[in-house]
Amino acid sequence: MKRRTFLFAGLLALLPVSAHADDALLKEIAARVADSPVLRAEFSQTKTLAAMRKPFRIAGHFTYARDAGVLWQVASPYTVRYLIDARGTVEIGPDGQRKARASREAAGAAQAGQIMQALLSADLAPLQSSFELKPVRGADRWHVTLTPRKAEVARHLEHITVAGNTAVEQVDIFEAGGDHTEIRFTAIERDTRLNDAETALFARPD
Amino acid sequence: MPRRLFTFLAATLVTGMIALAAFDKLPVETDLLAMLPATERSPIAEQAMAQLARAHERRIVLLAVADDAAQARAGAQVLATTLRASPALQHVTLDVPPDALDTLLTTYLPHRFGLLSSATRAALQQRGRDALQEDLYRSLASPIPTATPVPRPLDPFGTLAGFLADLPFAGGAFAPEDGILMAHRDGHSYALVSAETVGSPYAVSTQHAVLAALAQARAAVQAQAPATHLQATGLVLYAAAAQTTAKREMSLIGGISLLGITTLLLLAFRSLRPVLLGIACIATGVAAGIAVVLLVDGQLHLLTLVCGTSLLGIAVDYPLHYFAKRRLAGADWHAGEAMAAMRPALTQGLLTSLLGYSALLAMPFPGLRQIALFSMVGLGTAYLATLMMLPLFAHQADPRSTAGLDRLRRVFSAWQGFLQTRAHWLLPLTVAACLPGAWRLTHNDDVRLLSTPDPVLARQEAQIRELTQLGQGSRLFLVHARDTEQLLQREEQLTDALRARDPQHAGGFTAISGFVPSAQRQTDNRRLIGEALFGDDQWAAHVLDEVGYRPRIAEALTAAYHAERNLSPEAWLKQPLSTPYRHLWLGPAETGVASVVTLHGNWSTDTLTAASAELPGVTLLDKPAAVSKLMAQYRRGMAWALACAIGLSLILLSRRHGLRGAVATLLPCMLAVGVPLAALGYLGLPATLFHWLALMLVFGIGADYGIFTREGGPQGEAALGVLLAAITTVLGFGLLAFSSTPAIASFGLTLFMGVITAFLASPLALASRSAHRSAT
Repeated sequence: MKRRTFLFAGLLALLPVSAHADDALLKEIAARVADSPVLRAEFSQTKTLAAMRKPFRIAGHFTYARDAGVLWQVASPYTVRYLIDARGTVEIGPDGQRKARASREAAGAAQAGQIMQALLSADLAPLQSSFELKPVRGADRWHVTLTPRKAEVARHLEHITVAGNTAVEQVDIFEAGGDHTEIRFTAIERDTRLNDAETALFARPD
Repeated sequence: MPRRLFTFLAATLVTGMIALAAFDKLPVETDLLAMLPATERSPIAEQAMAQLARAHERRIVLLAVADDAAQARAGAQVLATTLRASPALQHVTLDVPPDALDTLLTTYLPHRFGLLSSATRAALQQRGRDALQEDLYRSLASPIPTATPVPRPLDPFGTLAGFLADLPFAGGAFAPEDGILMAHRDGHSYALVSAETVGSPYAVSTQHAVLAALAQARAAVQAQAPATHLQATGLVLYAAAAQTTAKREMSLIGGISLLGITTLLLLAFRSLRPVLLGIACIATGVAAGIAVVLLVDGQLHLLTLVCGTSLLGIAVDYPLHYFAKRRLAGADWHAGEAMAAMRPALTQGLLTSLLGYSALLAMPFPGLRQIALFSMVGLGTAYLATLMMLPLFAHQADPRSTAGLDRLRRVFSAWQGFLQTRAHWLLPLTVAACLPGAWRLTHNDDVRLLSTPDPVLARQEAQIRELTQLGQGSRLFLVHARDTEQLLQREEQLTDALRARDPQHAGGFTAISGFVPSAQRQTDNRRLIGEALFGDDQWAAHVLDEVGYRPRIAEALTAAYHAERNLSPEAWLKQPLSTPYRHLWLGPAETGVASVVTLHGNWSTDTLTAASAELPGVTLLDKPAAVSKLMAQYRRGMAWALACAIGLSLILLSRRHGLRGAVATLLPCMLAVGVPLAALGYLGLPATLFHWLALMLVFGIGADYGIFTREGGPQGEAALGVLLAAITTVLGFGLLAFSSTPAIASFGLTLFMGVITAFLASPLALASRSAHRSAT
């Protein structure tokens, strides 16, 4: 009886410890990545679908601004720009015009935008209510596995991994149907402020 | 004789007690809009309104709110469990069926090429396959998999996903999370629970049961999920609050009024008998009024009840004048003679009041008609009771000293003298002072004046509406057509027009055609997409191959395209996912079929009117606007009725007093109508129908004062009666000004001002009589 109680207490004590360790590592990762207000990188995204005979690749560059969100500019095979922030995802046309979306779509886009912004800035703690986070520290790199908590999301999304060192270097999205999206970031550079072109694109009129 | 009196009083007492006991069971209507007439001419429109009202009135929407999602979920689960245990509630819904997405797919996938969102359709019309190519890239390029239920190979261009995202599902910010509808905003999480009342929300028993169930649920949530709090909205909650307020005010205002009147009468008459008999006269009047109204209408409206309490104020005038006369007469008193002498004044007073109310009775406003009926029957009965009972039960003289009352009479005659010597300039001055005020008088016919919803309930409702985008229910479009296909086409013309006028998506709408487009639209969509994708050059196969899709994907798409048929409304109505929207479908109407398109969000009436103006078979039903228009009509009608009543009274009275005499007799009453109107103008308060309703009553009271004063003679015989009458009326009506219902409060305020004016001006009724006498 006594031993059992002891064991139980020990288990209880263990749980918060491991959670604390995870939290600490997540904080460390976030601090390491987001220590500069602006981050720029080239990206290449490869989608591997069961329905496709060859992977679908796109490439471009992205700008992460700690206070404003993410600018996602696809350069090939066609050009399109997305502005992603906590309020959602807005597509910016070649003429700089922004496309308004119906409210329902916007609600989904806002959620996706939040996830995307958190992934690219490695500030993953806000995602804890939607995902189970499992950070792992490697020799010189870290990676975090995100498993969706909600059944509705789990229907589409199996898990996401984010990996990097002083910046997010790779994001892998594994969809429930076996489709896989890999995003790699190269030529990462840090800055203290946005350039004028970026500032103009980040400005949301509403 | 005393024995007969006591038998009578005992009977009255018992009746009163029975009435009090039955009060809780009285069928009291609290829906203020129910007082209004049908606003729509066409029976289909009325059916649409009624069907929608049924869909709305029993629904209760509840939110469990907490700082984090887990707490909100826990709270919602406790809430749903507790509510399910209540026999007063049914269809308590918390969980979203996990196969909801599959249902969506099985319903729509077989018809995917005919189903395009308005945005895709517009892009396709403008830019053709370029738009589709972008969509193809977009579906592959988007870094985050958006929660689309359509597998990518079945919908590589994302057109069906776009259509599904555009479906006008109710729910607003809510989306299913682990089987529960949740929303997150400003650091709070919300879980949605909905329920329906089993009985009518207007039934007192339903209200009690629902409130009890909610209280229990709150307690359970407090105990088991203390970080969560609840928000709720539903008609039953408003109805319950209105009922409670009305009964509380009824008892309070009625009670204080009764207490004040009793004290006053005791002070004036120093005997219990006049008090009891006075109350008996009123009670008979009120009882008769309630009985006749129940007999005619089957139920008593709240407003009638509250205004009816104020009937105390007029009905008590009749016995008052009798007792005042007796008190002043001292030992020299003959009941029969005195009553005979008073009868002309009483009768004239009653007739003028009835004249005023009969004008109301003629109006097609059910609520006003009920108030008029109640008042006419009540006053008539009180009049008869006074005439028949008082000489019988209070025939003995009252020989006690009248010293105290004589002092009162002296004050009154001093005022009378003051008024009469100065009337020639005071009267024009008063009129001149009133004119600018009356000129500045504005009107307000907003239907919302009819009720002030409980502020706590209103705040919760606003937040719930904001989050869930619940339909408004009071403004909607009625669409009418020859057959189903034409109906859907007309709905589409309407929704296209609405979309075109709302580029920012500020407002939304729910239409059947949003779930199942017309055959014409589906065929046209399929043509558009077919020309782009499956033409002679087989562009779909080409472009899909280019991005890397396997050939079988394009082959399957092409085969599905060629085999596809339209989704029929009949098939859609059979789907479970149509259940929450079936009330939009009115089905076969007189000539053809009809449906409604409901609105939510912000739509200006101008936009709605402009969007539907040119469209055949589309009618905008705007209940508040229609009712407001009606209120304006009746307010004007009331003003005319008042003018007619004054004119008719002049004719009636001039038979006895001559024209000049009649004018003098009605002077207090005309001033009593004019002064409040001017005061409202000066105060900048807009006059409403209810001010005019009160003025109608003021007219009756003012006429009474004039008639009694004139009939009482220049020695101020009637002064005591008029004074007592004025004080009791002010006690009854002045208190109504404190009602929390603006309609009743403005009613009370107007009466207060009017009655004081009528009282102060009452000596003017003697003016031309004394002049006449001194001339002869």
